Amino acid sequence: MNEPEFIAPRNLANLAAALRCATPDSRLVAGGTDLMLRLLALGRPDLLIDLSGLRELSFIRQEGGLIRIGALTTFAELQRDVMLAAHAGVLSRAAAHVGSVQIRNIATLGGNVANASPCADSIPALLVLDAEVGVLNRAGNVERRPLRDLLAEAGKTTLGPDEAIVDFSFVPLAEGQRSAFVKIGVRSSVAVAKLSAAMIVKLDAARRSIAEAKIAFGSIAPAAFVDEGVAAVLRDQPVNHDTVEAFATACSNMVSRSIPERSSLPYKWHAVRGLAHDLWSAIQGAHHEECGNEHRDQ
Amino acid sequence: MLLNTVVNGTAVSLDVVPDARLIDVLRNALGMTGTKEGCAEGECGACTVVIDGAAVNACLVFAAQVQGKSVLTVEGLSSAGQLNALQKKFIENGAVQCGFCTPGILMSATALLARNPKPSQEEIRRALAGNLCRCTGYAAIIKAVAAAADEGRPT
Repeated sequence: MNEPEFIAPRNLANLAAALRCATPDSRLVAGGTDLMLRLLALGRPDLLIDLSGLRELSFIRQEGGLIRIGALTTFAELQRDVMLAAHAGVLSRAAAHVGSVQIRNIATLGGNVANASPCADSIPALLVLDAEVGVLNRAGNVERRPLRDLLAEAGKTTLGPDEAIVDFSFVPLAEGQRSAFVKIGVRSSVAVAKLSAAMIVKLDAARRSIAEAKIAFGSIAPAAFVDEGVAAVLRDQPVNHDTVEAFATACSNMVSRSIPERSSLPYKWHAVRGLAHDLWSAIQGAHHEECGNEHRDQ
Repeated sequence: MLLNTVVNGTAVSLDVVPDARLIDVLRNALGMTGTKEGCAEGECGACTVVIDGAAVNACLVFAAQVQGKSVLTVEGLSSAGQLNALQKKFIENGAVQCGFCTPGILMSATALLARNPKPSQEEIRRALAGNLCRCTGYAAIIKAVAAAADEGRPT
């Protein structure tokens, strides 16, 4: 096949112009850490649009009551951002779990979502935060869509070849909300998640019962998802051992429902209990976040 | 396409195919074979180079993406035939056995020490978590990086 065309837009107007040239065989590249390997299966593109020079899409800021993150922000930048750690710890923690130093230095939040791996670390975190995604189209307009509407199947989003993710936005955690991200992999670094989960919990004023809970799972279904049933098991329950056991059981039942046919079911059915306990420990350790202090690095 | 970049302090201008990997351009077009290809999927870190101060896997970066940037490879650590302090500490501490992972580990350590000249043991371990070594068991490597840090900036 012929060598691809290469366009490296320097601003959003250039990017929109490049998107007008894109076909289903064209690829957007941000950090490239996933794309490089996927090209082995996808074949040579007709056009590579290199987003890595779009410095205007590299930012983390608070704006109009929201946290906004540019699509080209790297995981290293997310991991060390103090504001993010204090107001959306779940995403900081997920960022810290991505790959290795080398991967986090170049891999981007937008790329992780666009690649739509079932085990992408950032996606469960963005799902519990109810993130919206800013999508640039060929006309140069940015539309906002809920992240869950972008996730189609394993490795596939609902984005067209002439669309690009430009940013993410979500409401910061409120006073009293705690969050956590945990994952199980074969080694502590550079591990593709075998199971991952992100959770936001709010305890009642006396910290004796669970007032709110929201949880999302990765590496189970073809796309990460928010599970209402598991969260309901925690809501209005006392903070005690029995609640955590019921939560772990609910997680196992969720795995049985989600992947009844998969060969990994027996493993994941057991392993998710451990994940549930890790998640609960992390939530209990997340009181720093509640106090607005900086997170300890995990 | 024409790629203009800086490699080990020297401006380089060469024609590359847009989807060429940085590691292939370094090894094949520039003849810099110090950067090793291990797993070719970002697991082992043998191909680590430093781009604008950040350690990156050269097997997962398109050469076209270092347009206008500065790349440091293991060949750039020594000068006038002299190994730098970090390299010497690797030898003194027995941190090299088969040596295949060594260039990548040196580059991860170089990026760490440039940003954090006095890293703790834990910080060294974390900085090297993306580099696999199947010979040494890591202890000697961590000792070597700590020894270089004790002596001040490696370069």
